[in-house]
Amino acid sequence: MAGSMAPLTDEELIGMLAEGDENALRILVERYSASIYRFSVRYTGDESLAEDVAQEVFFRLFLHAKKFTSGRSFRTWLFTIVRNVGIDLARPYSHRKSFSVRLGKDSVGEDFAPESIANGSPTQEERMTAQERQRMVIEMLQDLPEKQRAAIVLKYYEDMSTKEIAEVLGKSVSSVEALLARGKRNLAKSLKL
Amino acid sequence: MRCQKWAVEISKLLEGELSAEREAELRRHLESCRHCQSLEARFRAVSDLLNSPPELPVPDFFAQRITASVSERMRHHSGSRFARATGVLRYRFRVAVMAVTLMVGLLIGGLAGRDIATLAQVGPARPSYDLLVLGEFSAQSGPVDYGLIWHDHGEGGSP
Repeated sequence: MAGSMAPLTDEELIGMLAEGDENALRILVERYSASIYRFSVRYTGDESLAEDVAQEVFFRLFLHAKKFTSGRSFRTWLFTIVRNVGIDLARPYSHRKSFSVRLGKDSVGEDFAPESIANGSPTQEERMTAQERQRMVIEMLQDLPEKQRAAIVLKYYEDMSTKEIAEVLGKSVSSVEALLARGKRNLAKSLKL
Repeated sequence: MRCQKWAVEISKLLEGELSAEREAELRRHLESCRHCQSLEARFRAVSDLLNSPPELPVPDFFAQRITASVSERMRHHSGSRFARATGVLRYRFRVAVMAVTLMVGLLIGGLAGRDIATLAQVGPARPSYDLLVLGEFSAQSGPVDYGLIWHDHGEGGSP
């Protein structure tokens, strides 16, 4: 019988969470914790902060669950909270220049030349492992201004539309389009392209 | 800088979000503008790089740890809320108990006061059976003999 039941929607779960239902919390965590983890690592550049961010996000979901209006997209509401928590928790460490992304043991080779990507030369790029590329991208993202970084991460890793990103950032669609273009231009500069 | 306006269009083109009409216009411009051709190549390289890394691995038991810690915070929060609510109730209960005690005290005090007033006016009520201690007293030395008797007063009668 249980197998034939339709899964609870996010809206239903958030209603249950408002009443303190821990089962609703468990389901929401299962659905979104990986996504929040990945966003946090890319957004803050600090893997060790990601768990704190996720905990705080789900606790704030519980605290503000009654404020969620059913007409709104749950996902954009969730990522608005994730971004706010990321800003709050990353702020004390914002002065840091090096980031503690521990995704691979090896550092990026000194002979790596990012322009090879633009040249279409595969040799240098292919030498990089996937983990090294991962780390390099995350470190480059940290050099972007906050809104550009958020827009790029939501676009490329959360597959959000420009309209959804605009909702998360509280900006107009055209502002987000400009943020994305400026973000790419700055990333190209970081890559010395 | 003269091609600044095209940067957003090139970005949208690479994301597949440009209308057919705008795309045709942009492509016509790209044919003649080396600056924008270069920008398109750089944006494409950035997009390729952003798209290339694999999914970030999530630590083991991440979801379970989050569920456990947030559940505990939720319980603690609800407990605090309950404690605050019951704290108010406890205060109200204490006030109510004090009020009831005062009222009962006044009532008892009032009744007792009325009884005392009645007693003062009519004397103590006599039992229908009374244990009387009879004694003979001598004028000089006090009681010289005494005895106990049951005396039936009868119905409201006096001995």
